[in-house]
Amino acid sequence: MFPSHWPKWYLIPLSLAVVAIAVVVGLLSEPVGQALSPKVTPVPTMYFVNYAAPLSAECAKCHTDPQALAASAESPETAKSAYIDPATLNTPHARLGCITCHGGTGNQSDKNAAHEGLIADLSKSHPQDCLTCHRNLPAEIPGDNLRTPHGAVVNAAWEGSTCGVYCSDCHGAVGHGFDPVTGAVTCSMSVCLNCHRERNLGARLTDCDTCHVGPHDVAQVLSCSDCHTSTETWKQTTLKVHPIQLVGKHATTTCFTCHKWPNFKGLSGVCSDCHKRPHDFGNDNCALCHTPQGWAESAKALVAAANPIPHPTQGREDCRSCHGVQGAMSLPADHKDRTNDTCTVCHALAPSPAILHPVEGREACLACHGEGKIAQFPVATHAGRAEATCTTCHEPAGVTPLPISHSTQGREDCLMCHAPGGIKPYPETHTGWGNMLCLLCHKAGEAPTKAAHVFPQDHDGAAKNCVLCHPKNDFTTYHCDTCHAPAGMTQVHGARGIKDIQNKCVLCHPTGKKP
Amino acid sequence: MGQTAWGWLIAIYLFLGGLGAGSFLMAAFFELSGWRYRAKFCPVALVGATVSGPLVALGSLLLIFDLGAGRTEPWRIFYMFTHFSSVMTWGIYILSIFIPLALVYGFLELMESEPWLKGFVSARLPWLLRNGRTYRRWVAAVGSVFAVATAVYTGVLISDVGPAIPLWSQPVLPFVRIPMLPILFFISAISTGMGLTFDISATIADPEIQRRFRIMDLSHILLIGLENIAIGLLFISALSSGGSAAESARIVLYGPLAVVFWVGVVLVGLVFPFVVHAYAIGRGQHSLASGVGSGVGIVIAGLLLRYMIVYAGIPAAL
Amino acid sequence: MSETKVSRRTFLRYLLGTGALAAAGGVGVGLAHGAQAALARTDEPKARYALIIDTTKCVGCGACVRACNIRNHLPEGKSYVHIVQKGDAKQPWFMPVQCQHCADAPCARVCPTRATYHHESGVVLINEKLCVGCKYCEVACPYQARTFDEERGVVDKCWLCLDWVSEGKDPACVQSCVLGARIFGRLDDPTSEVAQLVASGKAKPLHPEFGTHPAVLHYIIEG
Repeated sequence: MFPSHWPKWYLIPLSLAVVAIAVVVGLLSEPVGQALSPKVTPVPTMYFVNYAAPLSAECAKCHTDPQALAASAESPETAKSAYIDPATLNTPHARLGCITCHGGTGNQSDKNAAHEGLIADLSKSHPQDCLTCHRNLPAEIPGDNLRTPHGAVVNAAWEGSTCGVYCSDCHGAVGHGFDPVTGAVTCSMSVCLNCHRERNLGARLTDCDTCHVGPHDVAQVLSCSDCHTSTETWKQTTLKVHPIQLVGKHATTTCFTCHKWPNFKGLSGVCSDCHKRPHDFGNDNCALCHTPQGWAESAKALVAAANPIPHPTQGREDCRSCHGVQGAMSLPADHKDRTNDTCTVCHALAPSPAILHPVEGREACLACHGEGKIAQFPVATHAGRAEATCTTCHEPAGVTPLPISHSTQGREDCLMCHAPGGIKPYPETHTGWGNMLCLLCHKAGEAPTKAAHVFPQDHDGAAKNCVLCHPKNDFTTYHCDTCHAPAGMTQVHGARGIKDIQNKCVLCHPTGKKP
Repeated sequence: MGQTAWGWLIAIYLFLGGLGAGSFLMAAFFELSGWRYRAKFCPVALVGATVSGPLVALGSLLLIFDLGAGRTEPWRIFYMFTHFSSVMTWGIYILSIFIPLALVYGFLELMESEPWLKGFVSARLPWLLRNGRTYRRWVAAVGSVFAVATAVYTGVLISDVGPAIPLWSQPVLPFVRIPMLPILFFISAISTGMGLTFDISATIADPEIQRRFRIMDLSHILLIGLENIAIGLLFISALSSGGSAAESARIVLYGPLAVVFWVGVVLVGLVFPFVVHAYAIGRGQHSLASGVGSGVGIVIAGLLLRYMIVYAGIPAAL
Repeated sequence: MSETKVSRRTFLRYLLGTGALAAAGGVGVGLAHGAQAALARTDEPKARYALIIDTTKCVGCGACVRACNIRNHLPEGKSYVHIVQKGDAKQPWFMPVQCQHCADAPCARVCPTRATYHHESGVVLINEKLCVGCKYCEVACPYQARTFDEERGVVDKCWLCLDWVSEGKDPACVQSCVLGARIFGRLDDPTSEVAQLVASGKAKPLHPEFGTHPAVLHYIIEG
């Protein structure tokens, strides 16, 4: 076919040319072949699964730059609302990249091109999107004092009907609004209340503990609204149910300055955290004696309530050695930790009346002073007291009662002369005492004074020799028969018809002379 | 689609490697069988010997272009001679021996058929000319081994990835644990070599040549038949394996690569040459155009087959 | 003419030639196969570390992908970890896949320059100085764990953040998982969580039928 005079080696480049053509045809056929071939419909996958990159550098560049936003936004308000604080882009969600969640076209600096396919508000248009990653959301948040009806909201989102509540209503703009790990949740009661009140829903949300589990120890007895007065923040509280009226600074400090979270029964701190003890008795546990009502008020109240000490305290300074925590003379429970030096601060001394009569031979107090007896003690205060305890409080006065300087014969009614208003009234200490009592203390006939001796003391030369008429020093009576023999007297008086003259001489012979 | 590491550079290299090896084998066969000496001028031997070296060398150059750090720091290529468990290391040894041999063979063949070169050699290297035929035979014989190795090793390299790309590691038959691709590449190499050297070059040089070598028509049909069977078995095996292999077969048979396959490989490379040569067997001869056309078709199909296999290699599903 | 006739000798030569060629081809293929099987690494370095991925907890958020991207200063869109979605659209589940650090790593076997090698701890590492960027390892990895870095011209993959790990810290992907779907620890400590999960059979290698014996990565997959 080719001229035979052509050199044979032309076949070599010819062959190579054929090969080159083949290669070119091969390279060309690829796009042609692909274009003509039946297309395989790609299986739609979730846009984040193939994780083609954040591709979001351009998004962030524009949305964090107020000038760029002002240039491309429709209005200043739109520009403002489209602004994203670059600091919020350091959260885990944001690091996944903008288009991972919002779609759109990454790596585009032109606004329209970038916004193609954009999903602006994920939760409103795609309520299920959060749930695609956050699979096993708990129905209630464990370990939280809030029985958040998460389960109800989440289930509704799966069905597509979230009654107007979306993830972002409580959780905010997750990617660039707050950090769900370290940041505060923008969750707000008003989100729930607005609907539940407006729409008259079954759960009216008037009862706080439908959802909120009170952490305080008083939660059983008090309801949330007793103290918390706002549905937007727990911090707004009132003290109106505080058992003790808090005055002064106590009313303005926070609850947990004095109480230990979360309990209110009992205090966490001690008064001395703020207050310096001005008195040196007692200890720094101010609450032993004082209440927050006021230092002076509580002190006064204590003093007023304190029983007086009825017994002498000399030699009895260690109060607690007798007044222990248990036993008949035990202290009340709130005195448990009070020290000895504080007792007399509240308890005034009120010594009991002294025993005015000698006690020898009169150890059985109750014989006279018992119930129903002559000198009955005040039953109200002494009920049940044992005889041995009388002298604990009542000390012998050491007073010797005056002797009765006259004979008591015919003079049994002491009060006739000695009552107040009488000839010789008794002292005030004897007020109210009756006749029966006199002889208990006052012994009759003890050494009358000389001025009271009626019978002349120089009778028949007696001249100060008392024993002639008062043998054995017994001055309660007299004896004429020391000198005047009774037999002769009886004969003499009998002859004159006077019988029964025993011990009656002075009645007829007051001066010692024959009548 | 399939794997994304190897692309058209590798596909072209595979094609050039196979074509160069096949051409060498054609020339070597003609040399060793003595057919080369039936006429004064044997285009098959000439073209086959001279293009095989440059084609494979060009392919290797493309390989180097496909490298990453090996392109900017070429001395790293010497490290590739060290790891004998890697088929790529075998390949670099094979190519390092084959390319020089092929170039020598080309020189020896050219020396024989071009008077100006003959004159040059006789002046400078008369001993070469004196025993030219012996040298050629030796080089052809030894080079044939490496030509076979060149044609086969590319298939082994591709199939050695094993479970990573299921299409490439499909066995010949389910119970025969030999991969199909080396065999397919070998058959394709011979076929393209035959197409280039005989169908194109020899027919252009001497349109009557096919009448003198009727056996070539038969061989062509045989090869086409074998290639058909090989491709068929490959895809049947792939489809029945399921998973990524079936997916690969699908994209070739009726997916994005369907046109490339059915038109470029089957129609142009298998059906058309088959018809031409069957017709030639029946009618006694084929026209120049159809002969050359079938050769071109075979060559193009050889490239597109490699391209298709490289691009359809879908990695195993996880 | 002798040129048109094909003599018997020629024909026999032809047949012999074809047969020899076929035999050579077959022998070549057989040799190839046998040789590379024999030359494949058989030593199994003990994996000291284990990274367990709990797919029951993974939601496919991609934090680990991003963490790896940041840690290794990769360009946007590239990471040594990729997430495979399985299951159907309504109930998908996710499986992060990265280098499994196989004991019989095919990447180490096919690398012509020995750039990919096993560290003594079982972690498969790449010596960048030796890599020519031929990408044979990238094609040969059945887990598609390797990526070619255009800039450096080498292939790279998960290296288990070995510098952090040898100080006792966790790799970046493990640190970034907020859902606890990644558990890391030492396999040679029988009391560790990972050792117990592997020993109990709850955590298994992925696709053991690939025959690569993943040594470090294990997966907890339900069902």
